[in-house]
Amino acid sequence: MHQSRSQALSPADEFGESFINVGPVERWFSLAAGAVLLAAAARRRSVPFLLGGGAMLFRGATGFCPVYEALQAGGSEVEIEKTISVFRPADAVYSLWRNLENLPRFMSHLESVTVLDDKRSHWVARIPTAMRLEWDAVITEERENQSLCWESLPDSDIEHAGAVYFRPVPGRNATEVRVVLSYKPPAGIAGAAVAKLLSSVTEHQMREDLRCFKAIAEAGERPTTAGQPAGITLH
Amino acid sequence: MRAVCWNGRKDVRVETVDDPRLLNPRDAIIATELTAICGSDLHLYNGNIPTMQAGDILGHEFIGRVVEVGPEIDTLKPGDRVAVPFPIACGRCFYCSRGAYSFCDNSNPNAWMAEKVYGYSPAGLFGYSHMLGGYAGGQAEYVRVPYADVGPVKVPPELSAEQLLFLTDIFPTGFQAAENCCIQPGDIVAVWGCGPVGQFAVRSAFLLGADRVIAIDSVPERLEMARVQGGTEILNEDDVGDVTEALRDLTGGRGPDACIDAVGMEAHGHGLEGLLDSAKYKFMLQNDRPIALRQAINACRKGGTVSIPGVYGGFIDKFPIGAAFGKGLTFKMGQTHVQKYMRPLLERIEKGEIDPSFIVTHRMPLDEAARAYEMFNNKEDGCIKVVLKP
Repeated sequence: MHQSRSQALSPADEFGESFINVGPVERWFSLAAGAVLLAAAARRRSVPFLLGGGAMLFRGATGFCPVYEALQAGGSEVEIEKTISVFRPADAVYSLWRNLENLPRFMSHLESVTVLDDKRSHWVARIPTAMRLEWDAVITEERENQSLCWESLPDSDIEHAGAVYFRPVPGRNATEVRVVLSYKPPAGIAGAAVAKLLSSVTEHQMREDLRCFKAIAEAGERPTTAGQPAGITLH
Repeated sequence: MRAVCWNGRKDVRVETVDDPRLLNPRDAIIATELTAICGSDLHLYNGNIPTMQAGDILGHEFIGRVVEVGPEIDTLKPGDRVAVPFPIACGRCFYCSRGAYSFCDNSNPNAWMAEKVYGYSPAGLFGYSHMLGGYAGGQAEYVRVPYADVGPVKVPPELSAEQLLFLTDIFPTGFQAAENCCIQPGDIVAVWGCGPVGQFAVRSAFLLGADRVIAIDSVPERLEMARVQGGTEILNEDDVGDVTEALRDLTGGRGPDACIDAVGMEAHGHGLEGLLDSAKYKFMLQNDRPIALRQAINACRKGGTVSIPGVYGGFIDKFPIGAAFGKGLTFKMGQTHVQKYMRPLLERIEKGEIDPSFIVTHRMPLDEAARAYEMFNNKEDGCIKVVLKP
């Protein structure tokens, strides 16, 4: 179920065509914007408007945006910071996170986390089965109901560090959760497994992962439609 | 099971698909007793809502019996007869805790899609595009209902399915539209659109104490339904020409205190304005046609309220913000927080204050859904509301 949901979240997979990197909603609006620009180009006899309109129509019609493609080309390390508000008191939110074995329930790039003792844990990345990437991490700083920091042990196959901060929202029974995660290849050289992991930890995915954390904390489950019936006429 | 599947613009088919199963601990499976086609389903039918996919099961108005519940559900048991609200809501987030169920933070698995267009995502809905959750809908023999401890309300056996069915959407939607008008004694409320939501908005305005209600449409049988059963004054757009002027005359030169746009994105315009809007829509220069909304804004009295239960999905052109600003209008809009209204409105039905079954004009088997959609869309044979029996 986990896997199928992350597929449902990718516009490319949803439409089954790998070159598509523009979401269905955005394509709709690209078409509209293209039509507006072309109309303006005709009125003003403007070449830049004509080119812009053509480009919008192209990305709307094909679902492929060369600019996105260029932006998404991989870097050698990732550091991502994201915040979400959870409508639960800080102690409840903190304890859900403090049990590190819960992390794979919402962190889509993790297969499992096994707690070894109060400070140490063993992490396994969720990457294609032919590859294996795992490491041990240690909690370096912990302030109950306020913050938690951890990092991978020296000489691991990947350099990983994470921190999460819990701040009560004044006047509301809610908690702001700020997460900072970083992954770096050891000595700056990324093998295939590390590269795979780095490419899966994206801003978009982190936002989705935190949304999932919030759903679990608030509603007790993540919303899904994976496995529901649908017509088959054109599938 | 049999289910009504969307396959493209003006192409719905009744197909045999897999039965739904429980996917989450708070789910229930409902066997549909009666379902209906909503006016907002016609926006899907006409291809005006993005992110639909071929094979999507339609429908968000349905009542039925519980056949199975997930391990977390102890408020329902198999055999219970329930009405199910069309927005899907977790009941525990910031918005749900304030009764704003249609803004639920957690029920849309595709929230990122809606965020791209709206900034933040509203709740997931049954059978209403992938941007709003991609949930299989209720025009089917069985439906999976998430958060079954929050949405479904048990309904009494004495009341008929047709009396109860509209608790799931159009009655609360018309009621919320009227409630959003903050009706004071002596108020005159004008309602654009005498489709099902407009009909319930008219009656709800009376229930909430409006002194007079004026219903506006161009379809004679719809106006007749509003008048005969609502004690309403009616205005046929085709006869009066300038609606604002006609309303001025009807309201002693003041204008209505509140205006309800129960038409939404597919308004049929008249004259040059209607022609221009249709052309812009066809060339994708706007995707919603706001003719009723513009009229409502222009006709409303100074300091009045414009309440919008009609569905809008994207962008509109020539929004008269100057008139809205100049008259200091208040705007209230959005999907209905159905969960908040179901029990109080069920009480009103039980007390006999209203019998929602007046709205039904056509009864058809689920297998004839394709014909039913066509008939409703073309307003053939006086069609105002079709119910479908699985």
